[in-house]
Amino acid sequence: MRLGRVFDDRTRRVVTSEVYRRSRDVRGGLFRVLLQIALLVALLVLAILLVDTVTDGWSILDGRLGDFLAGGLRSQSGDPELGVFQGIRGSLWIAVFVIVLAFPLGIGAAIYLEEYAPKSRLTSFIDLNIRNLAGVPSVVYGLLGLAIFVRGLKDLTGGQSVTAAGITLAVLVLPIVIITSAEAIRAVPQSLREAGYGAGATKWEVIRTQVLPYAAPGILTGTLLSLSRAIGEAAPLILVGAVTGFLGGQSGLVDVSQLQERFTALPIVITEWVQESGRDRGFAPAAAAAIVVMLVVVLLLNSAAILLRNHFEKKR
Amino acid sequence: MATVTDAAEVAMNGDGAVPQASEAPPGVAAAAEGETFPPDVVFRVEDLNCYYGPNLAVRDVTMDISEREITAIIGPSGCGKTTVLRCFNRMNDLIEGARATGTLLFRGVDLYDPRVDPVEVRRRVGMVFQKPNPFPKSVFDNVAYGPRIAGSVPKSELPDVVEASLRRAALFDEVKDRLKDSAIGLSGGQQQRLCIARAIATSPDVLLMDEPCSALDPISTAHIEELMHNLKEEYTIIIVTHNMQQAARISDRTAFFTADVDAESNSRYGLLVEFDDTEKIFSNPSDERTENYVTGRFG
Amino acid sequence: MTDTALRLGGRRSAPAVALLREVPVSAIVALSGLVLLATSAFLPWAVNVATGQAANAFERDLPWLVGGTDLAQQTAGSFGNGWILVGIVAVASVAGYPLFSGRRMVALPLAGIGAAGSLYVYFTSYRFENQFSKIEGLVVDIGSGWWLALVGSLLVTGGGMLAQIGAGKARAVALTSGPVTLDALSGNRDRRDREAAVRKVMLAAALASILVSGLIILALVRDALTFMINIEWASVWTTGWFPRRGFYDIKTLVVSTGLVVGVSTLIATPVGLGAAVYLSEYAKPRTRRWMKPTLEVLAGIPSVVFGFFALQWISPNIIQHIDVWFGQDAGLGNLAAAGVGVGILSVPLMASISEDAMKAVPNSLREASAGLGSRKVSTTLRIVLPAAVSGLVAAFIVTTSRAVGETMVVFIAGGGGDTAVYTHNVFDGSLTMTAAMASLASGTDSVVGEGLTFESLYFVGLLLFVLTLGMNLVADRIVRRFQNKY
Repeated sequence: MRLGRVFDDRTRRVVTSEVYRRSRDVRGGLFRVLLQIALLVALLVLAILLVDTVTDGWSILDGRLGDFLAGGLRSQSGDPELGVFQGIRGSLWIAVFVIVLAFPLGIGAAIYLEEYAPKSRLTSFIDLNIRNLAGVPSVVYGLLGLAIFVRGLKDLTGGQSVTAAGITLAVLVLPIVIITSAEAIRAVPQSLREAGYGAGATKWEVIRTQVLPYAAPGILTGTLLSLSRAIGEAAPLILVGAVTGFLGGQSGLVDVSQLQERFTALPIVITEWVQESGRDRGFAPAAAAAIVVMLVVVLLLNSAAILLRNHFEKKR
Repeated sequence: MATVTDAAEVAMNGDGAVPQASEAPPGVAAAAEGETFPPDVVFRVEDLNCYYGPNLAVRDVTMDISEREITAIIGPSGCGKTTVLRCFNRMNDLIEGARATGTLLFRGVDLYDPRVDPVEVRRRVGMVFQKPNPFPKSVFDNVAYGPRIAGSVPKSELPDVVEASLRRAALFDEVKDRLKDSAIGLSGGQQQRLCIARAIATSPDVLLMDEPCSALDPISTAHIEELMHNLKEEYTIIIVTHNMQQAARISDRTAFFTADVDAESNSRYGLLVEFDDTEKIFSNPSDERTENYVTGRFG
Repeated sequence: MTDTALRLGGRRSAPAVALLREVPVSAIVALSGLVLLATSAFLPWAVNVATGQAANAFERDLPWLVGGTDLAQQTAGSFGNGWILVGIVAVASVAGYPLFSGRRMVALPLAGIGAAGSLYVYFTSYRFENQFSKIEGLVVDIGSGWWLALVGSLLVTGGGMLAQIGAGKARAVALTSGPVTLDALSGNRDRRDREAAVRKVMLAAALASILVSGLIILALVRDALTFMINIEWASVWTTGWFPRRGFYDIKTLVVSTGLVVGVSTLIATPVGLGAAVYLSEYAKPRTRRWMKPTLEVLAGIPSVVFGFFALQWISPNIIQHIDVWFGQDAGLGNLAAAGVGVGILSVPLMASISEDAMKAVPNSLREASAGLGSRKVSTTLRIVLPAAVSGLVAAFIVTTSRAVGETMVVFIAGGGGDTAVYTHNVFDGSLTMTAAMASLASGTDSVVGEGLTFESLYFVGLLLFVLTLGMNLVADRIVRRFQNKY
C-alpha cells in the first residue's frame, strides 16, 4: 500500500480511526434526532387533531349525517333539525364572490405586474403594497368590510349580508391570488414569448395564446389555495356580521334574493357551536362534525392544488 | 417593459394620425416615393447605433441587405450581432431601455418611424431563434399561429397554408401523419424546421435567423443549411452565426462585427468591421481584423 | 356581438357604419357612463317632477342643490351645498378618464379632481345620510344614487373596454403582404386600440390592490380618529377592557397579546426551525416528497379548527395538567392553550420561510465546509444557519406578526368573554387585541354600546394594523436583502 510507505503505522491508525469515526459521532446523532422530533411533533399534532375531531364528531357523522347536512342553526343541541345547511350555503356564496371578483382581478393584476409594468416607482409601490396586503391580519379586513361594504355601501349590499361578506373575503384573498399568479407567470420561459412576438403577435395575443395557457396550472393552484383560505376564514365574517344565533328562512341553495339578507357560514357555525359547548355539551360533537365537513372541502381543494403543482413541476 | 403597446400608443396618439409626406424626414419621403430607393435593396442601414439604457451596444452600422440573398453576420461573442439582427424586426423593443438611433429603411420605409407598428413589421420580417422554441401545441397549431392571430387567412384555407409552409420548410413528409401531435415530441432538427415553417406561414419578405443551428447536431444542421439554400429563392435571409464555415458555405454576403472598448468610459461595444461578398471576406479581406478572425487567429 | 363586429369590419360597410367606427370606443364608453350616472341619480326625481307629485319637487327633493328647505338652510353653513355637485364631478371625472386617456395634460388633472371629490364625498357622506333621513317624505336618496352611479359607470367603462378588446380581434381582417409602405407598416388600428384597452384593464386590476389598501387605511383612520379625539385618555389606562361600560384599557389587550405570542413563539420557533433544518439539510428526497405536502396540509387547516382543538384537546389534556407545576389552576379557556394553538398553526409558516432561507445558501459553502472535514452537524450549525440568519430572523418576524394577528384561536380558546380584567398570568383567560375585536362584533346583532364602543373597535384595529405592518415591512426588507446576497 502506498500509504504504508509514506506514513508510519501510528499515523495510519490515527487516520483510519478518524475516517471511521462516524459511528462515534454522538453529537451529530443527537442533533439529527432532535430535528426528527421537531418534525414528528408537527406531524403528530396533525394526526391527533384529525383523529380527535373525527372521534368527537363521530356520533353525528355516523348517526345522522344526512339530516346534519340539511339542518339549520338551532338553539338546542338536541334539536333533530340542527345542522350546517345554512353554513354551507353561506360558504358557497362566499366562494362564488371570490371566484367572480378576486380571480379575474388578481390574475389581471398579476398579468399587469409581470408583463406590462415598466420599472417605475408606481410598479414597485404596487408590488410592495401587495406583499404587505398579504400580511394584514384577516380581522382587519373584517373592519374594512364593516366600514365600507356593510355601512358605506349599505344600499348595494344590503348591510350585513352575504354580499358584503363575499366582497370582503374576495378582497382578503386578492393579494394571495396576485402573488401566486405572478409567480406562475414569471415561470413562463422567455423563449415562448419571443416565439410569439416573432410570429407577429401583439403583447396581448402573446399573453392570451402563450403565457396564460402555460401558466394556467400554476395560476389554478394559487386560486384553489386562496379559495380554500376564503372558505375557512372566520374572523372577518364575525366583524361583517355573520349570524351566530338562530337564522330563519330555509330557502333553497341558490336563490338570488338571499344575497342581501343576513347570512352565516361554515366556520362561523363552528365558532358558535364551540362557544355554545360550554353551556350545552351537546354542541361539541356538532362542532366537530361541522369541522369535518369543512375540512373535507378545504383539504380536498388544498390537496388538489398541491397535487396539481407537483404534477406540473415534475413534468417540466 | 417598454413595449409594443407603448409604441402603438405613441403611434396612435401622435399629433397627426394620418401619415403625411411633409412630416416625414426628406430622405425617407423621397425614398418612399421609390425614386432613390433601389428595388433590389431590402434593408438600408445607415449609422445605426443601438443602446441598452445609457450603454452603447453597437456603433455606426452601415450596410445594404439585398433581395433574395443570404447575408451572414459573423464575429466574436459580445460584438452585438444579435442586437443588430433584432433591430430588423424591432424585437429589441421588447427589452426595457433598448433603443436605436440612425436610419434603418425597409424597402424605403423608416422602420423606426413612430407610425410604424412593430407587430406588423414582425409579420413581414419573420424570425427563427437560437434554440428551437415551438409552442407547446400541436404541429398544426404551431404553423397556423401567425395567420390565425393576424386574421389574414380564412379558416377554410388554413390547412392549405399550413401544408404549404411545412412543405417549404421540408418538414411536411415527416410530420404529415402527426399534425395533431404535440410539437414538443419532434426532434431538435425537426423542431427548428417547424419554427421556420411557422415563420414562413405569415408570408414574410425576410427571414431573420439567430444562430439557428447552434443547438443542433451536424446532420440536422446540414438539413437546415440545404433548406436555407432553397428558401433564398423566395426570401431574403439574414443569419447570425458563430460558425465561420457555415457562413462561408451558405451566404452570399458576409458582415464581420467585432467588439471594441471605448477608451473614455471603458465600456464594450460592437462595430461593423467589414461587409462584402462572402468570397472576398473569406479569401481576400481588406481589413486585418477580419483576416485574423477568419483565419482563426482570434475569436 | 362578434358577428356584428365582423360585419362592421367586412369589406364594404355602409357610410354610417364607417363613420361610427371613427368614433373612439372609449368616448362611447365614457358617455354611456355619464348617461347611467344621470339616470340612476336623477331619474327617480325626474319622474317625481314629471308626474307632478310634488309642486316644488326641486326644493323638496334636492334641497342642497337649490338651497330650498329649512334644513338645507340650517346645514348650508356647515357642509356647503356642494356635496351633490362634488359627487357628480367625481363620478364624471372617473367615467371621463378613458375619453382623454393618452392626453396626460387633461386626463391627470381630471383623475385628480375625481379622486379628491370622491374622498370629500366619502368623508362627509355619513353625516349627509343622517341629514337625509331627517327630511320627511323625501323620495330620492341621493346617497344610493351616487354609489350606484359610481359602480355602474365603472362597470360600463370596464365593459366597454372589454367590448373593444373583442371588437379589435374580430375586426382584424384580410392582411396580405402588399408592397411595403408606411401605411401598410402602421398596422391595424383596431388591433392597436385593443392593445391599449387591454393594458388599461390590467392596470386597473393592479391598481385595485392600491384601492384596497387605501380603503383599509381610510376605514381604520376615520373611526379611530373619532375615538382618539373624543376619548378621555384616562379610560385607556384602567384595570380592564369593558368597552360597553367605557373602560378601554389597552394594556390589558396588549399584555394578553404578548403572552399568547410568547407561548406561540416557544412552540413555533423550535418545531418550525427544526422541521425546516431537517427538511433542508437531512431529509432524503423521498422523505421530502411526502413530508412537505403534509406540512402544507397543516398550513391549509383553517384557524377555527385550531381554536376548537386548543379548547377541546390542548387545554384539558395538556394545560390543565401542567398548571399545577406553576401553582395555578387554569380554566378551560386560557391564554396558554390559545398560545399553544397559535403556535401549532404557525409551525408550517415558520418552517417554510426558514427552509427557503436555508435553500438560498449556496451549496458551494456546504461543500467547502465538508471538504475541510466538518461533519454535517458542524456544517449545519456553523455554516448554513449563520449564512441564513437574516432569512431566519425574517421568518421569526413574519411568524410573530401572524401570531399577533391571529383571531379565531384566541377568540375561541383564550377564555375571554365580552370583557377582560388585566392579567399577566398565562393560565388566566383574557382578551387579546384580535379577540377583543371579535367579541365586540359578535354576540349582539351588531356593534352597539355606549359612546365610543364602535369606534374603539377601529382604534384597536388601527393599532393591530400598524403593529403587523411594521413587522412585515422589516421582514420584507430583510428577505429582500438576503435574496440579493447570493
